[in-house]
Amino acid sequence: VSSAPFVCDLPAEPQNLGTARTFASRVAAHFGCADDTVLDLRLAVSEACTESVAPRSPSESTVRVALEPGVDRLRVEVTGVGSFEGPDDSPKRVGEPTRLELIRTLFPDAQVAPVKDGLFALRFSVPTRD
Amino acid sequence: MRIQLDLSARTDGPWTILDVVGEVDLYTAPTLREKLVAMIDEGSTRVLVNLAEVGFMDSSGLGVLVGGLKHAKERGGDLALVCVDGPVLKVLTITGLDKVFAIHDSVESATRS
Repeated sequence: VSSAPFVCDLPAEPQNLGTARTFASRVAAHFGCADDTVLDLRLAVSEACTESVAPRSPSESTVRVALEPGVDRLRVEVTGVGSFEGPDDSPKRVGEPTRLELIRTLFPDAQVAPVKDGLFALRFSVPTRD
Repeated sequence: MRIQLDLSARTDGPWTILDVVGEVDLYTAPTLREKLVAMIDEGSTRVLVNLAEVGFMDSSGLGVLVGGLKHAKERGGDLALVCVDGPVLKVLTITGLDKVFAIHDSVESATRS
């Protein structure tokens, strides 16, 4: 099974994080992901998009959420300016995971790679059935 | 789709309870932070953040809770959470913050403790 990805492009602004989460979770539910997987995906997508959202992002930048169905899995890609290399901007305690570590706790295959024009893509996959 | 976050505060004996309804992320976390800081600065020493009606929280929200706990302790107070089984408790657990906060399964069980 393979088809074109489902893509959502959004201005990289905090008020759009909910839309990104809703988009990803509805596509995942449509393809039969388990409820717990959908919840984990919501968190991972939110963390990934946050990495690319203001104040880090230049004005008028966008963040793209793409989900592509494959055999038994959805391939997820979040593209934006976030490199996951800088420190998180929230108060942390020693040992508390970074955004990328949190995403990898949920989806261990998550990888970040530069793409083009200074953008980075976070890629991981989620099972569409148990 | 604008994310909604509703906050309301009340008191129960020594507790100041902040009921939180909605989703907490980078967009709504500043509102929660401002409210928590204001409550603590106004003299609330036993703060209970009721997250039972929060359907989503990411690391931006966790950062606010950690900051609130630190702020409360600096003023000789404390901050506890009400959290039922679900996505919020899960993110607290996988980040290890369930060991940092006192977490209750209801407001009643917290205020009786």
